Amino acid sequence: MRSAGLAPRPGYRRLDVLCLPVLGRLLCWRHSRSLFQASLLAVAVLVVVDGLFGPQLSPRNLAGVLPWVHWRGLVVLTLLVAGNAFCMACPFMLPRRLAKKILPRRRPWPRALRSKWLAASLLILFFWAYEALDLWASPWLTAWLVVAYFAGAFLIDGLFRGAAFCKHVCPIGQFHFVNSMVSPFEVAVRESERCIACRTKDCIGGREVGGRVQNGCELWLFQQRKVGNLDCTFCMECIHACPHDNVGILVRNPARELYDDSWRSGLGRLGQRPDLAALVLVLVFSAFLNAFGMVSPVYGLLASMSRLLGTTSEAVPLLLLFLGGVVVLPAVLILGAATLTRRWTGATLPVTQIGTRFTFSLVPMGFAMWLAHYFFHFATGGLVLFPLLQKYLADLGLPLGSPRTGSGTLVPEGWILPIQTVALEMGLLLSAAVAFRISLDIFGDRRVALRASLPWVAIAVALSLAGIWLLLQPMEMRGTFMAG
Amino acid sequence: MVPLVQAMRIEASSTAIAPDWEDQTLMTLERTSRAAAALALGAVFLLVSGACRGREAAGDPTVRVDFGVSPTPATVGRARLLLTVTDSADVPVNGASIHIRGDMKHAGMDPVEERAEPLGDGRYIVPGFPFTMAGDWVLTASVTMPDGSLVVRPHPVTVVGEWAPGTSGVRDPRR
Repeated sequence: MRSAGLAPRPGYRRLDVLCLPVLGRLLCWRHSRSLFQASLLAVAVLVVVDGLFGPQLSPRNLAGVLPWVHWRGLVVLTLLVAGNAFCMACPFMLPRRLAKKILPRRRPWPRALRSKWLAASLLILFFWAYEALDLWASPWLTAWLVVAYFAGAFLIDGLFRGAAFCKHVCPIGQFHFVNSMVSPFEVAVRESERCIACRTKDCIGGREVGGRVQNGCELWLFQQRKVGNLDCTFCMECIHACPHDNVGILVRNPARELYDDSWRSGLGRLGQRPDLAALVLVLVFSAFLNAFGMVSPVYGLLASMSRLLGTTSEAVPLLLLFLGGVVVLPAVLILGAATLTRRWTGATLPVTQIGTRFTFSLVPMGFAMWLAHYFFHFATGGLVLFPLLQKYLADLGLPLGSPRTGSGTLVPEGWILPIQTVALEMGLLLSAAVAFRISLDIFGDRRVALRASLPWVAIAVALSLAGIWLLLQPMEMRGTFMAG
Repeated sequence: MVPLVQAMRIEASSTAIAPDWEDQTLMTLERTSRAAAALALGAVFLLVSGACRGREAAGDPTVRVDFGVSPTPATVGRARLLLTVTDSADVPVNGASIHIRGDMKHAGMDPVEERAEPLGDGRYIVPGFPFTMAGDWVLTASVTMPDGSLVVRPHPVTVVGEWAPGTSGVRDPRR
């Protein structure tokens, strides 16, 4: 394994993953990302093959189990303890390399789409489709979703410059970007003085290394001005491109970037990006709506909506529920809270600007709900993978015997609710702290800041209570609520 | 005969003076062949595994397995399953062995497995099948017929819920 000249330097003040004995050496290897991507590509192939050809009962199919139980659970746990590792290992980017070679890739991404509005809309569409089409219960649809993802990444990145798919389209990537804002690690500059002296700026422009081209960041994040994890895929191009070994994967204060409104490369100021705030709101409120879709009261509500609308289709009331839950309700809450903040502080800032800035304080609360929800599925079903894989391989003719069915639980059942509750309360604390720091950053005075942050803390408390209520509801996993 | 090490040196030196276009062609060829090999491997894997892992065989299509679930609608807790097996001539099948597996449609939940007891006249019963959670279930009856052949029949059931606090909504009536 070659370290590509990225030998760790002693004496850095912050813990650097690249300096760790085994992991650091692996990550410094030029082909490490390809290795991770190839591993997930193999998993994606299993999902597609089993989804298309295997038994169509979700719990007995790898396409039902791997994406919806394991991948989602591991994503949130990895975001919690590390960072955006799943974008780093994204298999959809492998065909992109091929696309770059065979498709023209000349056009710039359309100016009108250079924002997060499209991605936020696609996220709403995805979450709605997840419920309306019961993606979780259909291995066949899940397989086609994966195929569509590969095709989308191939076409978009084959036709447009840069990493347009990651930055502007990919709903999964947006989930990772936003939630990695509370992760404890980031790709960052080790010593800022070195960057000031640097004349080549290879971390963004790329360079030639040993006769081959080493790309710089394709998401246009210039390390010297990069802040946090937003839009960072952990692709490590900047790490390999920097001729001074001055980029690492460093430990940091989680959530600090949520209240940092300095100008950031590739993004600008958070407070001036309503599209980013909208993306955050979609993700935060979808966390609660997605969990709401799994408890008994949702069926009563949807049935009432159907009667009211005079329809037997589940798609229409679900669409209304989603538009209400992730568009109308958040908009009303944010505008209301921003108006109160403005009134209580006598600030002259526009309401939309206050709302945009404070919206980022809700990221920890949203992440906590995703964590509570996906951790539940992973903790209760993590071990079901083994008999399933055994059956899969046995069907291929390997002499592995017949699989034993038994409990798939990874964690004792009695621990799950307390862990979920702690996650929600930690999310609430972090959201409240971030709201206060944003407030302090805007208003300066601590008393005014406290008053200004109250509406936002109230929203976080309401979300936290909603989360606890959801956890205490009887679970009911139905795909066809009309049948009940 | 040229010794191996010397031959390698000659090859290395000839490579060193080879024109750029040759290097580039070789590199392109290497890359292309690697990509082609990976694609070919993937395609072979898809074909083989797809062909080998067919959907579960249902067995003789003329055999009928009727499910009765009591109470209706089924609720979280124990339910009585009554199965009736008849052959192509609508004659009750006795002497079959029936294994029932209950899966929730959402992956990640523990399956429930029970054996049905014969009642005679082609009827078989599971007196207390434990539905552990509300939601959509699929009961799969694997019927080993008296002649040894296997018949597999799925049956969807929607279970409505009760709830035991402190269990994240999961209630296990087996305890």
